[in-house]
Amino acid sequence: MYITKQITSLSELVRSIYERRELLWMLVQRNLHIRYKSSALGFVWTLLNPVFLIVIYSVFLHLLGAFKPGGGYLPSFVIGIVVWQFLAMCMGDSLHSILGNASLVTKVSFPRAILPLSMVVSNLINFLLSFGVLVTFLVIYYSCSPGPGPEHGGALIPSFNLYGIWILVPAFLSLFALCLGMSLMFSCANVFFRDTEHLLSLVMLAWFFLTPIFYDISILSTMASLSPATASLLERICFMNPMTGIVTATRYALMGADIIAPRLVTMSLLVCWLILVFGIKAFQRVESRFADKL
Amino acid sequence: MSKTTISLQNISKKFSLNRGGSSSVKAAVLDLIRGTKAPEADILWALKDVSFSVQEGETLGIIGANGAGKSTLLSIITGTMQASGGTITTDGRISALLELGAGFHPDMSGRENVYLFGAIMGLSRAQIDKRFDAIVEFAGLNRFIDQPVKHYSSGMYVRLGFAVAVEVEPEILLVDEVLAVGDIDFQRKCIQRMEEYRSSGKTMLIISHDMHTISKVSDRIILLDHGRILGDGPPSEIVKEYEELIHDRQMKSMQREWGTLEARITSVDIRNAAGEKSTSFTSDDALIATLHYTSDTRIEDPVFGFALSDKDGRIISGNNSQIEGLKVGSIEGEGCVTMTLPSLPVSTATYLLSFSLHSGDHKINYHRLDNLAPIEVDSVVGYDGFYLPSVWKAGS
Repeated sequence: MYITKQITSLSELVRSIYERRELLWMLVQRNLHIRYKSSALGFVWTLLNPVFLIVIYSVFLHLLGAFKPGGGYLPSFVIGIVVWQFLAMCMGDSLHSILGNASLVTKVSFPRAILPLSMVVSNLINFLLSFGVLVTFLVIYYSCSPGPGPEHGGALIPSFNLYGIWILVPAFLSLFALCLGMSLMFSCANVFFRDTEHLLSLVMLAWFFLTPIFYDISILSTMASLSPATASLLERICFMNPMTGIVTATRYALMGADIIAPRLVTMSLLVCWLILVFGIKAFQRVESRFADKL
Repeated sequence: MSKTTISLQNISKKFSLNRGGSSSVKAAVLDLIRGTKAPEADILWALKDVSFSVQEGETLGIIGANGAGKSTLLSIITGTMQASGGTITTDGRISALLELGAGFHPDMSGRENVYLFGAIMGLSRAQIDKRFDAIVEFAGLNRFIDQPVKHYSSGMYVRLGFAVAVEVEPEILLVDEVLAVGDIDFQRKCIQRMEEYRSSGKTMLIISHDMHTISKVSDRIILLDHGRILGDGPPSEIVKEYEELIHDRQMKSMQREWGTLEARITSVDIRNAAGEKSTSFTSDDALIATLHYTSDTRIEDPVFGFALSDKDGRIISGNNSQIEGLKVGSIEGEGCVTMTLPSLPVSTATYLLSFSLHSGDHKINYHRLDNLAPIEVDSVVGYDGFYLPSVWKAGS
């Protein structure tokens, strides 16, 4: 027997979603299925997208002259883009996860958080496949790179950091938490305020440039105009951005860069979990009013 | 001993009108700054203090005019909507046929949609596997089950929706006006399925505007009106109550009052020959209407008129004081006139009386009261319409 249920505690939410894991999985399948429905290549697109992404950026950076074989710029850039894509696609998909399922939300009772969650999970699957493509690319790229030479100014040759690869586990878990937290927030905000969509595109644009994707956070310390104290403060601020920590950690694992600042990265990853908790709380506060607004 | 499966205590649900909530940030921010909440006038109580309970195995019908709060009630029972006040307890898995095929994704095949819907209803894949053939069979979609549902005809769509919702074997089935869709064959199948469901001792809640079906299927009916329960009892009784309510509303909705209002008919008394106020007459009875009026200015030679209409507002006959040769003279201030209909040679039915006060040249309508008073006539006139005297003789 249940009395007009309103799930308020975190553990109850997790349990209610675990109970409906079969539904979650079906929704994930549906999302993946629909994305490639009636496309000739179907699921292959999941792999082709990152391949094309890498090819296009390689050509573009080459034309700009920034691409030097063996240099760290292209891998650094591509890693940033692949990680960023996960967040960007999650947000784009989840934004309409409640609105787009209005007929379900108003007719059937089930944990509503499953809708944005299923979007994040299906994008996670996409991301992991893209990540596979990325690793394959890096393997080929590193094996084709010439050894260190004077033309690189003796710069460190990027390579996989076999000892540091474990960091991907907390990094990706945090990335998932971040995506879920943001998705929960924006999917429910969109039910109440249709401005959310416009706001989101601005937020994502600003966020993209605030995240070290086509630059590296280490440029701060090399900026001559900044005093070391200011540079360190700016760096701290940059790491308040959860994406900074995730991108930095991923580069650490895949490029062997010594750029990791353990305390700052940890802080950055913790921000992800704070956002998740905030997202869940916000979602739970308003989910009972969805049916009224749809 | 049967147990209570659904119990509602003082359930209320309000909606704020106008903006449907602030759907733009601007409106929300402005509200926040002004510290305003929706004023009382903008609040619609879709349900107000609704209490009832349903026993296990009972079939409860819910009737009421559009906007009475029926669907809101089901949404609250389903749990998709939160009540603004009151408590509700339900016991058992609820399947709601609120809108057949709701939640089907057009790009997915019938099969995929069945599995997805089953999962939404809380069934495991294995449980759906077991029921799958029965669902397809009931929906009659053997050949099309692997086609995307967007290629289904609307009938196929609805059939699949019904089949799925019924086959998930809920303990409580909520049916919202689904009997109106589908062809006769399908409707019969649905009703038959619902009968089976009912005889298997499960609880059902049905909303329908089809009074015949709902009184046949239900054990008990609740009449909802403007969010309140007006009646709760055996089907035939409540359906009758509802029909009377609708009838009264219709009569009222045809009432109209217009004119320049320089002079007004303030009240009309309708009496029988014995001088008692009455609304029911036989065709032989006399009807005496006294029209009280008041006039702000002096009006020369006004005319009082009446019209008799059927219950749909079509005028059958009418007459006025001028035609009948009454010189009212001039009126100023209050007064009254009396009209007598010596008999009512019309067939048995409900009629509406209209009254008017206008100028002698018919150019100014001071006051008209259209379809004001319903009267019942129990007639010896055996045919429809009214009695037209006719004289007959043999030959030419």
